Amino acid sequence: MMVENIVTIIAIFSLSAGALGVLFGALGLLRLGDVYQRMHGAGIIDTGGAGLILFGLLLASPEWTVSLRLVLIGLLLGLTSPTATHAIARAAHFAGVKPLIKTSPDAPIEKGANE
Amino acid sequence: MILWFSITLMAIGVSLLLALARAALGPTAFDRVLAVNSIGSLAVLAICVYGFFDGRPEFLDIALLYALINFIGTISVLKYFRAGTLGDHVPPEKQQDMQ
Amino acid sequence: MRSVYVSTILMFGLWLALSGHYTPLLLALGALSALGVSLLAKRMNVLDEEGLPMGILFRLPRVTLWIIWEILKSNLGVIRVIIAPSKAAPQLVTVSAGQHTAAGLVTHANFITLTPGTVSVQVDEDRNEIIVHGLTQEFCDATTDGSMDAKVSLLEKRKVSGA
Repeated sequence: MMVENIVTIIAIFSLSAGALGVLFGALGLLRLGDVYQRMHGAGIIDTGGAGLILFGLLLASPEWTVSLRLVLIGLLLGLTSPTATHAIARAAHFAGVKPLIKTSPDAPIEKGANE
Repeated sequence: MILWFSITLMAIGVSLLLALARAALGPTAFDRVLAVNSIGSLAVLAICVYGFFDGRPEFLDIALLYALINFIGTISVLKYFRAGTLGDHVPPEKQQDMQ
Repeated sequence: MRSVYVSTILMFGLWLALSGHYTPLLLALGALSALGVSLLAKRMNVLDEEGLPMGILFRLPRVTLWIIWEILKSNLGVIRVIIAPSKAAPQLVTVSAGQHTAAGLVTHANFITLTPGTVSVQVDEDRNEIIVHGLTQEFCDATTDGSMDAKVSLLEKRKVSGA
């Protein structure tokens, strides 16, 4: 009985943290400066948010077949989301989209890649 | 537990709207692709959580397929930007871009 | 031909775990489709060391735990920047990779993208370099200091002498 309670509490904590992570990721997608910076916001959704939500569901899952599916979804997201993000970054780079560069916190933002 | 599932579902819904705003605003096409890719990931999560919320974990099979198709969709849209075609045929004037 | 057997057994195991129906007819159909997919993969030439890296599987758990910890840490860092976007100091840095196979280089680039705050923009296979977009100076330093490079090299097979 005691153990079940602890597992439920961890699951709730993980779900809430994941929900917060997803919200912050989407906020970053909206707020940050240029395409390359927004990719970091999308990265939070795909790694932290998705991982914590799936972990919370894993602890709440009733059967082992359900747990297996959740683990598979996590693995799949972990393998495909960085590849997709890298593909977008590479495509933007080759299409000539220059990232905003700021070498120190006080320096002004300048446009152009240091290649 | 149902309460927490619905709260998570609501957070995912709000994030979906924010990502949709970015897809509508996005100055470059890559912003839009990025936002649509995130919307796909959020949809996978929403399907998973809804399966638990409704007590029907069979929804996870759909989420598994959605995750795969989301990835393939993003890659094919990017390939279409680059080559202007989805097949093996690349128009001659695009060939020097492909390396 | 051994890779076809291994991949058939792995896929049939996955089919058994996911299907939930265990009548003789369906079991036979599942085994047949697993065999068919493996033969197709063999014909497409994707069943090589990269498609089915058996040596890596045993060293995976340690690196997986490490990368999960890194992901959680850098998630908090990126959230801090999202709350105050003026803190962002984006930069492009070049990371030199110590891997000697294509699969190792791809794993390194994937790990860099997997930790929020850094995205690999371009992978140069000839010079073994990865161009990385980092959100702030700290994220850039975390990728260039070589700790991730060492972890990814752990996953790779030892270099065959003389190769």
